[in-house]
Amino acid sequence: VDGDVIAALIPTTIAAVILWRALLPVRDAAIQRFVDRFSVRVEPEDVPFVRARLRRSRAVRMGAIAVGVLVAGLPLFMNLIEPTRSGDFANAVLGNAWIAAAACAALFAEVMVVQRPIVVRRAAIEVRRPHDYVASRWTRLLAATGVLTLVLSGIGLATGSGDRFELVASAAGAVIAVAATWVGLRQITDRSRLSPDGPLRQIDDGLRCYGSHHLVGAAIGLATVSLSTVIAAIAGASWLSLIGLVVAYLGLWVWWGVARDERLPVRKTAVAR
Amino acid sequence: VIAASIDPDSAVPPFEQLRTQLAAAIRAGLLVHGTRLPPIRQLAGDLALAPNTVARAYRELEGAGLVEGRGRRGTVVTRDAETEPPTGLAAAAGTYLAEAGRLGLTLDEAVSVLRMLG
Repeated sequence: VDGDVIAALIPTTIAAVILWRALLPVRDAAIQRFVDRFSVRVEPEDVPFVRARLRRSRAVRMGAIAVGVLVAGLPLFMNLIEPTRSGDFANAVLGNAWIAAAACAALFAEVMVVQRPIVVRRAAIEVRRPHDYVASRWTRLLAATGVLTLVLSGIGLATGSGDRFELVASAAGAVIAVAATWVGLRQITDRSRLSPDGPLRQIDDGLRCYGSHHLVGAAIGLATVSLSTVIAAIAGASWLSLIGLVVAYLGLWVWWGVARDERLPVRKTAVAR
Repeated sequence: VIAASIDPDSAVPPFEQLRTQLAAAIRAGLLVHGTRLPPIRQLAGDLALAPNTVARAYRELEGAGLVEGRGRRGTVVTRDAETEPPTGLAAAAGTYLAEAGRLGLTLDEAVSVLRMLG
């Protein structure tokens, strides 16, 4: 078999596996993880609702990542179609498409939620803030990474070091990461409450926590990968470009940790408090 | 958590129902000086009301000198309680709610029990 075909099969297979996993049903173990992670109580009659919400959110995020992987694999596909043009698609910006897709999809997954109160005409007099749902250290880290990326891109453009397209695109990536988080967290806090108290309130808070963590995690991933691209572009072939590599790996590690593992117990109901 | 409720069948308009409840909570000291009220969009969404309805209630409260709009910082309670703070009652209610929570009752259920006793 032609080596180019095998190379093109790699991103295709990865995307197919991600897509397959995206469409799998949300198992009971995943519901239990949600319950444990956010210390919420899910009554048996509410399980289908939680399952549907988690599944839709996961399908949107993973579906977008699958598309991003295919975009990142464009040079490999071009090798099969028009090898002379393959190099046109081999750049860090397209290579980072999957993480950009993850951040945009995490935002889209929250924006598309239309939530109407189940307990109607009664509301708690409370102010919901983003840091009720995701620790502010992560939003601060994101902001710092975004600013650093913009500053380094500016320095690179001013001094003429590095590829201009990559510098501008990376700066845009950092801006998109911060803006998506700002819009998404606002959407999450402003969304109507399912119920002012009881288990539904806890589920509601748990889903807000879940969405906030995925959104901020993916945005940190995009911002750090953008920062890494800027560092690599400025550093060129010197050993300093290794710093960019370390930054990228750290960012992806933080993404995984924030989105999947970090616990943040939701605010308790008045009764539980 | 202090809750506001709107009766859709009432002859009293929703903004007035909300205004009355918030004013009563402020005067009773349940919403103390400096407390931020929820953003208009947030409370309107939770109560399934139009944002203008909540905005009007806030405007009326501001006109009465109970709250103050502080731009991006939101709407803040500016009036102290007119009655003695119900310290003893609040503490007793807190104990009751904690016990109800321990028994697995929701706030609604706990209030229903109080109504049955009253």
